[in-house]
Amino acid sequence: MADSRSLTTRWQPIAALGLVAAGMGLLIAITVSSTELRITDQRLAARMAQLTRLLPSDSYDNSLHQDRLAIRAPGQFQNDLPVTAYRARLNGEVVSIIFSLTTPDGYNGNIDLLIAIHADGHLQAVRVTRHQETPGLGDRVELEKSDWVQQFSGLATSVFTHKDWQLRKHGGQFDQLTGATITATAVLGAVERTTGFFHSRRQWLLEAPSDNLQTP
Amino acid sequence: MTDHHAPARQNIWRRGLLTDNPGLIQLLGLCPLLAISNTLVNAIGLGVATLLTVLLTNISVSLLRPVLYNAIRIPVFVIIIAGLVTIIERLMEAWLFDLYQTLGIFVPLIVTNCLILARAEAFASRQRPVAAALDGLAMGCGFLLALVLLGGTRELLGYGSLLRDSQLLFGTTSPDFMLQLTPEHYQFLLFSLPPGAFILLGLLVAGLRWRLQTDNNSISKPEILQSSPAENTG
Repeated sequence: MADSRSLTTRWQPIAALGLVAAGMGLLIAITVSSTELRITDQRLAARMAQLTRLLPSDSYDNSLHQDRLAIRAPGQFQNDLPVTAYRARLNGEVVSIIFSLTTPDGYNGNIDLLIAIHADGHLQAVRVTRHQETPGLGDRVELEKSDWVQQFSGLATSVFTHKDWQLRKHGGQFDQLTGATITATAVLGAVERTTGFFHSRRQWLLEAPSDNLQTP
Repeated sequence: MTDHHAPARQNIWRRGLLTDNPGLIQLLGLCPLLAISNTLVNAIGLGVATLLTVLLTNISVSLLRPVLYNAIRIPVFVIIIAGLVTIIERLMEAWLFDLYQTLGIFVPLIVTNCLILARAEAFASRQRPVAAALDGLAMGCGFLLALVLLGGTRELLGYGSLLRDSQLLFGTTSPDFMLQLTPEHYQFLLFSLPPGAFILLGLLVAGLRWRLQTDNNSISKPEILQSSPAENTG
């Protein structure tokens, strides 16, 4: 009798812990399943809002997030994080490609970028979507803070050499960002690599079937 | 606070907001307090999320008192806190998406705020649900108050504005509540960066302690600027 009694006492806390964990698990499961749809929508809407700001709205007629390529190209970009390319089409023809990528070279960690390149090879727009650069210095890569990123718009980059992709003070083509040379160089490097990738894989980028992780 | 008698309500509020203020007196949860107080909107967002967590944790812990065996006490607290924060995080991502993006890692990190575990252990596990809820509310409000004071001061000194990016909190359809009190491009970098947070927190802590000490020596009722909520509910 004494044995079974102490056994019950010993099992009680374990059962209680299990019940609490199961109850909390159930609550979380309910929350996750009931918010899933809305969260997916929110993420998509936020992505779309960023993408549509890069291109004139009358230049394409498809929904950007549906025609995308997840590119895995080791050695082409600084890291092996997949780069996503969103393709804008007009009457079925690809008119622009927006690359979404991350460069680890920022002064304070990763910088997320969107780079829009026209099918004919000229740069349409460069936007920094996420960064942790110094407020007041490096954060001027945001369009809201300064028009530094505007200098990329309209550049025909196929003739650019590595030397052109430097800041003016290093003999290149681009305005500096006072007090934020590392940030500016990180953005330049990312744009250089992306346009280089575009020019070397143009045909594939225009013609590959959409979605799935692909290796050009 | 180890006795089982519920302290008077007025005491709970006074402790939460002033004499035991989690941020300014107990110095708990300093990491989010310093990191997320760069603007008033961020401060309110994280403050309310923390307030909800400590309130719901206190209620849950108090309700679970019959099964809070000593051996599993801490694991139960951790399950409750982690679970509630996960739920709050999901809800924020669904309904306050932009704010959630801005606060980033600090929403899941509410789990590690020692304030919540401290209230569960020291108070809620020994008190009835009503008293525990009141304590959670008071302590949460105290933390929110510390965040708001620090966030408001930092934004005012750093950007010269109040409630910038208010759409993060009230939605994109709401009017912009931002008050710009200085010329457009005013910026005092020090206060937007972590050093400014440390300096201002130090001043706030020193100021509050100095006032509380002075009050203890005086006979008159305390007339501290933050004491009105305590008086109203007392």
